Amino acid sequence: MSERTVPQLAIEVRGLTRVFPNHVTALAGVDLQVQYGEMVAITGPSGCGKSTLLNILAAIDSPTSGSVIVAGHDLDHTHDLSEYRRLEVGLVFQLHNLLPQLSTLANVELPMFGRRWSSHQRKARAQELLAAVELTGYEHRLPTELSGGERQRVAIARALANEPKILLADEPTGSLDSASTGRFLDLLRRLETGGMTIVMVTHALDVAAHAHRIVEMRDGTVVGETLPQ
Amino acid sequence: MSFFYLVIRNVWSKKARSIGLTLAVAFAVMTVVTLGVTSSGLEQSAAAIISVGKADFTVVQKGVADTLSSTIDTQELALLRQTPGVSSVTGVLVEIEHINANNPVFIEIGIKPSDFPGFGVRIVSGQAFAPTAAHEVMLGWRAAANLGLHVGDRFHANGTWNTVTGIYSTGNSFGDAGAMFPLPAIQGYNRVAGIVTLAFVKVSSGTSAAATARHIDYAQPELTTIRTAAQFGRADRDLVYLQAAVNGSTVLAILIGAVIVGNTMLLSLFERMHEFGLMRAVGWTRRRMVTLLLGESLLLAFIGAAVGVVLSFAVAAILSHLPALKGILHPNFTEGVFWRALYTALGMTLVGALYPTTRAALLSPLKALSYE
Repeated sequence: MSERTVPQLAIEVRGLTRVFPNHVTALAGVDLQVQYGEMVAITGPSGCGKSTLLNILAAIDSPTSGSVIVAGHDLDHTHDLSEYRRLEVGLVFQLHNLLPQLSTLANVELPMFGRRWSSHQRKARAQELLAAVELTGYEHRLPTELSGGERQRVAIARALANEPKILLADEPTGSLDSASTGRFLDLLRRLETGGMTIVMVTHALDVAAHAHRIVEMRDGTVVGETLPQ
Repeated sequence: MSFFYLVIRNVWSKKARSIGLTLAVAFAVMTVVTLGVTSSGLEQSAAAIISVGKADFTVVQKGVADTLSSTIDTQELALLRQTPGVSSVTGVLVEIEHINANNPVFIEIGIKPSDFPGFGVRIVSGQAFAPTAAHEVMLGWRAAANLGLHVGDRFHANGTWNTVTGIYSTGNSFGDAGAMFPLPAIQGYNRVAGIVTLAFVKVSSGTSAAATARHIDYAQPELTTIRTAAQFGRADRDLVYLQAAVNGSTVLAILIGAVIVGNTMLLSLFERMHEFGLMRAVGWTRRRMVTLLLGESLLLAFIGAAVGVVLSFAVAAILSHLPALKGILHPNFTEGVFWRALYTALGMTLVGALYPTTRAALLSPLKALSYE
């Protein structure tokens, strides 16, 4: 990786635009700043560009223009995005995206390949993470043998595998029932208390209410910010 | 979880794809190996004739399509005998006859009894035929056992009944499975008086067989000398054509196999698009993706190679028992065959995997994750 600056903010986005090849404008000049240790919820109606923003922060999509600096990395000038994705951010999807052929433990170990760790170290770290998300004893289960809430907790454990400073979650409670959502939010709160920066995209206002700050988007732009009551 | 375990796990979990890819490799390897061992076996069977006579080298007519259609006349034999360093020359007329279903390729050698010692013929029972006898024959001990004949019995060959005067051994399985006739008699049957097919040459002690052979090649350009099975393969044009056909078929089998492997992997790529997108999203590098996919392919290639070799054993065994090939085809499994199987499997897998693997490595994580 290159172009690493001294990080003042966890995330700094300026004039971000994203126009897809079919000429649909997903982002039309987004500015966003997130402090270290902050938990921010991005809300807005479907198609407002919130997931696109998160994908760009996760470096799995590229902006059309604008600048994105995450954990001191200017993504436009970062050559090794794989390393950035592996080490700097943890990503949680709405549909947990676990590999069905791998056990819970193996799924959590997946991002650790590429670090100079032995398989024993990977296993120990994955067990530690599964314990942190209260899934001890589930190591050898396949994703199909877990409930939706359990799968999402495995996804969080995987996102935390390489101790990222920033957790990006895209509609993480979208497929969970209320009990699982509550448990998931408790977990996020524990992480935030531990100093983790969390950016969560959600259209559920009760979920967004758990954040320090709610950023509202509409038609590809940030239209307002509120503090949860 | 080790990386190798991940490779095995992926191969195991995608059973249909793994079986398809393994079978593609196995069939290609089977084809290549079977062609290799059968052509090598045919070449060895054909070349076995040159090792019947215990000679330093054999001389045949140059440029013949089939070595057994070689003709060497009396004058050429005389010139061979006069070559410096040559100790003895045994001229024999060789022909192949279909005796029965169990002996579709029966070798018959026309030879003078006086040449028996030089040719390595040892009479194990009975006696030699008379030098000019018209209806006498000696059987190799294997042929006698196969045909259930003994000294004094009658043996039908060359369109006539012949009395078995003796049973011989040459120490060569090919020669011992045939029969020997008086040279003039077999020349008469074939209406080629004074002609022999092959000349078996022994050199004087202390003389270099290679140098003598080179001398003959130079002095008698209408003839060619053969010292090894490989040289036999080059002298016999039928075998040259056979080898060319085998090489062509091998290339074709590898290409077809590579296309099937590539196609299977490409289908698998679309099937696993989401998985690859996820791996890229959690920080897997392109190189690691390529390593994983090649690891999976190579594992299947090794399994396919092993299955292919086993299948080729079975197919070669079946082929060698077919009535048309019985007695001719002796599959020749050598160490080289197994290396060939491995190279074939690895080569076709790497060629076939090249495009799908590159495509997987270049996938945009987002596009792959959104792929339905």
